This record gives sequence, structure tokens and C-alpha cells, in this order.
Amino acid sequence: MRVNEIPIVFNCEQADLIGILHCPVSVESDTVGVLIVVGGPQYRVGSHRQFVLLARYLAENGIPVMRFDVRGMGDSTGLSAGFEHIDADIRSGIDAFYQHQPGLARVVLWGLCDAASASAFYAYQDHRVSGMVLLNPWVYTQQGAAKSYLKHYYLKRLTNPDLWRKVFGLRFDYLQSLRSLFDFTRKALNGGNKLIAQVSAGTVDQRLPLPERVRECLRRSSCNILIILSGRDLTADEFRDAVRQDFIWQELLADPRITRRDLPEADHTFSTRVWRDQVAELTLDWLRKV
Amino acid sequence: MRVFFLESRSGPLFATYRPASNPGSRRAILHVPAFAEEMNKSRRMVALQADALAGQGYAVLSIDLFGTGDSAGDFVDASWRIWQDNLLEALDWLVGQGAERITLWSLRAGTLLALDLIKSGGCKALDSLIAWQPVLNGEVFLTQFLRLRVAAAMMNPELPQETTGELKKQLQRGEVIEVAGYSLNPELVLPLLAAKADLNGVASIQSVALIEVLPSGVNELSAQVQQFVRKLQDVAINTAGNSVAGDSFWSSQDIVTVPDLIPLTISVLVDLG
Repeated sequence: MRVNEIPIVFNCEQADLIGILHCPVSVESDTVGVLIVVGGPQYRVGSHRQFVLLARYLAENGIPVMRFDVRGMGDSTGLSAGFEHIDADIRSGIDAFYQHQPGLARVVLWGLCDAASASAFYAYQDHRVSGMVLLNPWVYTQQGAAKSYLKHYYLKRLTNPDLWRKVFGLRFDYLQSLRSLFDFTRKALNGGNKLIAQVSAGTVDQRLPLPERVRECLRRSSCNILIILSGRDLTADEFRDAVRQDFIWQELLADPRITRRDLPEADHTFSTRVWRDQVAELTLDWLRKV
Repeated sequence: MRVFFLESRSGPLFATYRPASNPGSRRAILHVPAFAEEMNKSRRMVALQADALAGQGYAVLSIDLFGTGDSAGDFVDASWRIWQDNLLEALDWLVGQGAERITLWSLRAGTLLALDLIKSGGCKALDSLIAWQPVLNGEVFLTQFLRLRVAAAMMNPELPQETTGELKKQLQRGEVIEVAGYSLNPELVLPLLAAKADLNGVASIQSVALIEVLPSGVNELSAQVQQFVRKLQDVAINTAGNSVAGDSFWSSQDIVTVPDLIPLTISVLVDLG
């Protein structure tokens, strides 16, 4: 299918945001579009162009897609406020998407890592959002990270003789590494200060620890959700650990509106053509079903 | 700022254009981007510098080369030749906008592309080069890039354990190899592998400035940059070598900026005349 790619500039609280629209030439009325939310150290093309290639693939299959830089990132002006403060950017992005894409009825937010969490924070507040694709959602807590690091990184690798050969061969700074192991162990054993979950009638409490905050936001939304997790990624490990320890999360994941897919070999950013294509195909299949 | 697709023989290339703040200016700058993920990481810093330059009377054009950023094509189909053509077409476009004197502003491996472009003599309006953290030896740079694949394989015992030497041989046999999500076409990386900053053809421009971003406490330019500056001075090219303290914004894990680099770049450009 022929696709027009159109650069746009739109406003968000006095800043100029830069976006790219991928518009299939023939779009049915009542179509669902995908808005790629960008987080972390990336701009709208994504690491190794993942977001460009995904957008082209979906658009060639008839799905309009928009990618954009939030304030203070990439080519957009303004100051970066971090992933917990991009509600206004996402709202402006959706407004611009509707303005430029005729026939758009609903929007699916697609986000990786902290952009997945930012999508969750936003989605339940906007009835135009009907779905989310969340990849390796960022649910970092210091304690959770320490546990995951111990479990998935150190213990697995300390017992691997091959690693040790490489470590010494590379003059790896093993003293520093041991020091950080002790530091992590200490953090994992500390309970940490838990905030009491205070969920007001309006928005989900921003002071909740991330795993609970993301969970409450997803519970509050009526979206269909696809969660994709990498097998070789500490962020995904933390997410899996957080879910495993929490029966409300488990109940939520058992809800038929949530689909979960695992890519056991993939790393955090899906940094091979094979993994990128798997993510693109999973996304398209899921979009066609919901 | 204007954002648009610049039509080229290899398809639409994403471009940002910041006209000079004073409409009478005939000075323009073309940015020559860094390679692969370094281009992505430095996007912010390049945007900030371009804004500042436009405010000082320089029109600034920045393009995504074929197969990179928002431009047409797949990275695996990119070649050194296509990228040279892209840059020449961007220079022509600037001349079409009224530019009479154009400076190439390169970042990292973009410096090797820029030096090749100068050598080709394809644009008479080109008169200077300002290089940020220049890569002056393509082989050293490519070896570091290939190490990303070697390191990824070390973390995953199921992958073949290769050396950078073996990977180079595969490229020399004409094979495409994938590194950190980028499929490398031999027609792109073999010319990069052979590229070295030398004086061939540089005499066609009037001035060269090299700027390095160094960790705080380090004041001396790298040996390669010092050596290149001396060579340029020996052939009486107006040359400047400068440094500024800051983080490696082209490679750091998080997006960082080096605010001091922005006024330094402008003052170096003004001094070059």
C-alpha cells in the first residue's frame, strides 16, 4: 500500500514538537492509528531505527502511525521533564494526529521502557485511547532493581566458568564489580520505605512506587493491552519480578483484555532485525484482533 | 525551523532548515552527521547548536543520510557513494537558497565523509570545515563499532564468539553483517575502513577547525588531532584546534548536552572568518 510520510510541527505548552506521520493513502473511516511514544535516551526514530521501521511496516498494512519528539528531546523545543511528566506531550500528539489523519477513530499508544510506563499513566485519562502496546515496561524501584540484578545477572553469571575466563582475559575490574555486588545485596535486603497506596477518585497517585502506579493506571483504563517482554533484559526481569510478587498484578494480567508475549532471546531494545520484525508482527497481529 | 523532505536521487531525505536570523546573510552550514547510534544520541546537541548558529547569522541545514533517521531507504542499502551524493545534493540545495559561502560542520565519523566530500571538489561554495570530536581513522572507528557485536556475543554463549578481525574479513568477502541492530553493507563500511584524514584535496578550502570534548581535568587534545592540526598548518591552511570539558554526548547512555561547546563553536567559526 502506498504511504505518505509527512513531517509536522505542532504545539505543546509553547514548545514546537516535531513529528512524522505515516499515512496510508486509503484509510477506512473509523480506523485505529498507532501513536509511538518515545522515552529514555531515544528520539522519534528509535534505537537502530526501530520506530521508523515499525511505523513503515504498520502503515504499509493500512494502519496510520505517528511518531514524535516530546519537549526537550530530539528536534523538539522546550525543556525535557522526564517520562513521568509527558501527559501534555502525549495529549498534544494525539490532537495533532486527529487533525492530520482523516478517518481516525481511536488511538493505540505504543511505548518501550519508560515510554510504556508513561503511556500507562496517560491512557486512562483520554477516551480516544483504546489500546496500548507496552514493551519492557519500566517499573524501577531501587529494591526491585537490586533483587533482579542479583538474581538474573550475578548468580547466573558467577557460576559460568566461561565468563570468568573472559573477565580475566579482558582485565575486567572485578574488585569494583564485587563492591557493586555487595552494594546491591545491601539494597535488596533493605526493605525500603513503602508508600501507602492512596488512590484518589480522580487520577492515580503519582507518589506510588512505580510497579503499583503502573498497575493502578492499567486497572483504571479500559484499554486492550499487549505486553511484550524481552528475555535478556534487566528492565523486563524487574517487571516479571514485580508481577510475580503481587497478586493484584497477576489478577490484572489474567484479564482477557491483556495479552502477554515473551521474546526469550531478545534484548532491551530488540536490537536485531529478527527481534524487531517479531515485535512488528506481534503488534500488527494484535491490532488486527482487537 | 522548517522540516521537510529534500528530494534526492536516492529518495526523500529528512531535513531541518534554520534560515539565518538576518535575511541578507549568504553564509550557510551543512551538518554532516555521526554514524549509527551516535547520530541518534547527538540529535539534541546538534539541534541546540543549529538553533544558536542560526541566531548568529548562519543558515543551517541538517539532513538524515539515506537509510538513516527519517529518510527513505534501509540502512543495509546505504553506501558511502550514496551518502556522498546526498551531501552534494544538500550543498546544491543550500546554493539554491542563496548561500555563497558554506561550512561543513561534521560530527565524529561524519568528519571522514566531510573530508571525502571536500576532496571531490563538487561544490565551489564550500570554504571551511568545523569538526566536532573528529574521527580521523576509519579503521580504528570501525573496529570499535564491531566490538559492540563481539561484546553482545560474550553476554550470550549461544552466539558465535567472533573477533573484530574475523568480522572485517566477512565484510571484505562482501558479506553483510549486523552490529547493534545495524546491517552493514560492505559498500558502506569498506570505504569507511579505508578512510583516513589526510591532506589530499583539503587545500581547496580555506580553513579547518577541530574541536574535542574532553573529560574535565584533561586539557590536551588527542594525539591524532594534534598531529592533523600540525599537518594542516604545515600546508598553510588556517587551522584551529580547541577543546571543551564535557560528557561524550554522542555515546553516553542518557541524553546529555555540553552547553559550553555551543558558544565555543560560534567563536571558533567567527575567528575562522
